[in-house]
Amino acid sequence: MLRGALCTTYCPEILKLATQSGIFVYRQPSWKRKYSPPQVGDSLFCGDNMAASTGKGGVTSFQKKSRTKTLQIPGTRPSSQGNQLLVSTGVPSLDHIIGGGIVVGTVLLVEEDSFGNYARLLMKYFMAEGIMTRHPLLLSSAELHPKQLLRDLPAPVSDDIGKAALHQEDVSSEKNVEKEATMKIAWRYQNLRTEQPELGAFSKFGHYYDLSKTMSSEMIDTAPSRLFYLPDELPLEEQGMWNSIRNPAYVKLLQSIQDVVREGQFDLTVPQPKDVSRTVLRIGLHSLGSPLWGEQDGGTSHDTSLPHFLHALRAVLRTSLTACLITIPTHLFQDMAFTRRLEKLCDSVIRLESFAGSEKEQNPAYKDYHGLLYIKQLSQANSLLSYMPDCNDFAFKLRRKKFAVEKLHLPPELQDSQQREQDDPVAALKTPSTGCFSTSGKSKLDF
Amino acid sequence: MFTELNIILGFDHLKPPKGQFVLISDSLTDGSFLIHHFLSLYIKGGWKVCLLALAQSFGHYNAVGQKLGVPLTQAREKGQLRFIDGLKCSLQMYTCTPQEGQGENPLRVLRDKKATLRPLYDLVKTQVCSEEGVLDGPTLLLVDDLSVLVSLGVSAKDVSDFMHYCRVLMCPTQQSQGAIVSLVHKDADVEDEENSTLFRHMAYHGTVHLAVEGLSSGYSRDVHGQVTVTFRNVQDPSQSQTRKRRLQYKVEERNVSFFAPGTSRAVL
Repeated sequence: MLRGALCTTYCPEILKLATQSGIFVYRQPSWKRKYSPPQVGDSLFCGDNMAASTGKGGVTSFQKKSRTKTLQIPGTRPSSQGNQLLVSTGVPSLDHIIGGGIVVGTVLLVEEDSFGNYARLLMKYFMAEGIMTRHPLLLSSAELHPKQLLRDLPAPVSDDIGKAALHQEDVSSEKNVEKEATMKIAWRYQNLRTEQPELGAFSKFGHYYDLSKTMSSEMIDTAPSRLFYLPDELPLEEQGMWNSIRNPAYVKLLQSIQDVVREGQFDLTVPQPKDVSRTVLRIGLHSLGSPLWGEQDGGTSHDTSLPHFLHALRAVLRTSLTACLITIPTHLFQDMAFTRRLEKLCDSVIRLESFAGSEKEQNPAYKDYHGLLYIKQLSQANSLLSYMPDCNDFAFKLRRKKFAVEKLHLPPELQDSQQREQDDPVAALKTPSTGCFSTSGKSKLDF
Repeated sequence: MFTELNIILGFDHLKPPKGQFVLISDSLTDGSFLIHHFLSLYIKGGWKVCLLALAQSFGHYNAVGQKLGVPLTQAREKGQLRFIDGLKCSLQMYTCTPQEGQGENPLRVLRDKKATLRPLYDLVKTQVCSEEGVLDGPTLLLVDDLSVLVSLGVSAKDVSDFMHYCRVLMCPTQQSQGAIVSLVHKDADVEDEENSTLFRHMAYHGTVHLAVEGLSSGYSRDVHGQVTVTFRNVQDPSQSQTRKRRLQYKVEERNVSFFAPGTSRAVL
């Protein structure tokens, strides 16, 4: 037995040996013993040198035996099934409905709303989250200069910054004596640290952002980022040239993505030395497939550049530590089949529909919200089963400090019947398919 | 390998059937769990498998295979599994310059309009056949999936020619040594002409057709969809030409449970 060690045992022989050799034995009273059955994997508390016995930032020396070794990267967390790494989108409520976050190695496709405002906002949240978690960024855009997009990132909500400052102090200061003296009853927990000071707020998963303030420029400038602005990378003359069946703009973009993955050592097929800390690259492709990218005819089934780009992108992403968010204005495409092909080549797909300018703005059932969000597909990479949400009716609302995605509930019917059909919000929400809430018929006998 | 499905299909898990052309089609949902089923069934049955993976990487099949109890890395090392990495070939085709040339890439058709899928067929043939050019024991060709080829610009005619050649190689009759399993997307709500043409051609070749679709009443967390199994009887004209069975399914982490419609555990 080590000095200062505490060990539980139920074996009477060991107890006898212990009392004989002078080790202090504390026997639990019998009433307590009855209600605390032996647990498999009881932890061993060692009084002295806590730091040596704890694992990587762990609280006790008990470490769950896991078959797969998941990488410990700040700003990521394992999925609920435990075998995949997730990265936050920057919007905690969106993370929740897509199953925890974006799976590393996959693509989240956001089908833009008509004016593209909310999709641009989601891109900004994604980039801001990357800066907060110190993930390198790769941002591409054809219309708005990526630098402009980055200048305009929302600042994290102030108590997150406060926590970050506090954690910095904890790391530098010694263990303060006052804290130890306060614990009189739970004295066994005195030696345990409450947080993981060396990681701080940068390891937190999912932050809230305040849209009225912009992120400090020093934070943005110190973040490693690579920008791809199409008019800079490819001169205008070359963009229109379609002598081959590939769009040169997409090829240039894929080549720069491959270069960044190779240089930044995100490639998983290349073995890295153990002491190199790995991180996840966040790729944001804003408004891909818009006419500025050379997409002709508004997208038809015969156009194969963008599907081929997505297929080749999947090949790059699957073998590297990257997470990708793409926004595509699919409302511009005339052919639904083309959109469907693009969706099949991405892993997770959501569609935004904003109420701005449509007749739904006046609908009283939607008065609290700014738009609807549809989940079309969820990632099935590396598993048999994708995350299955409870329902598929979501709406989002944008507040100053929060982009909230919520389940759309039918309002309660306060009156027995509605005098006019225009007043009835329930009938107005009649959706033709899916929906757990679809109502049919206008008869007074319906509930 | 999902035992309930094996019972319905009449496939023996110890001796998987020969000479079958299984076509999986999905509509508005994902039918790839059936690919994993057939992959694990035939590997456990001791067959040689050639997996032409156009939609996912090897890591994906390996991760799912481990959950289903089939270690694919070992099978690959032993030579039981031949893996053709479609993603890598496609990436190479996309980024190579015309000066480098396409070389030996089997997906040359993606750049060269005049080419066909012949190089891909040659590659498959070298993987499954012995030196004489005949099948080297019971072999399965698993194609995941054909609609990706159509999305990448290959015409439906080229793809169906390729599959015709493969069928002649692997399972021209019910007594031949090989079998083929392939997946086609056929979404009911969009008008995708190329995909529906391809589906019709494949359905003509197929001996067993599994159609995966969502429930007609909408999204449900407990029953993820339904599978309609159609058996084509080409041997005996006196009996009915097709036989259909319908099942509902729920995908779980390590297994997929199949049950008769209306008998889901959530309902009973």
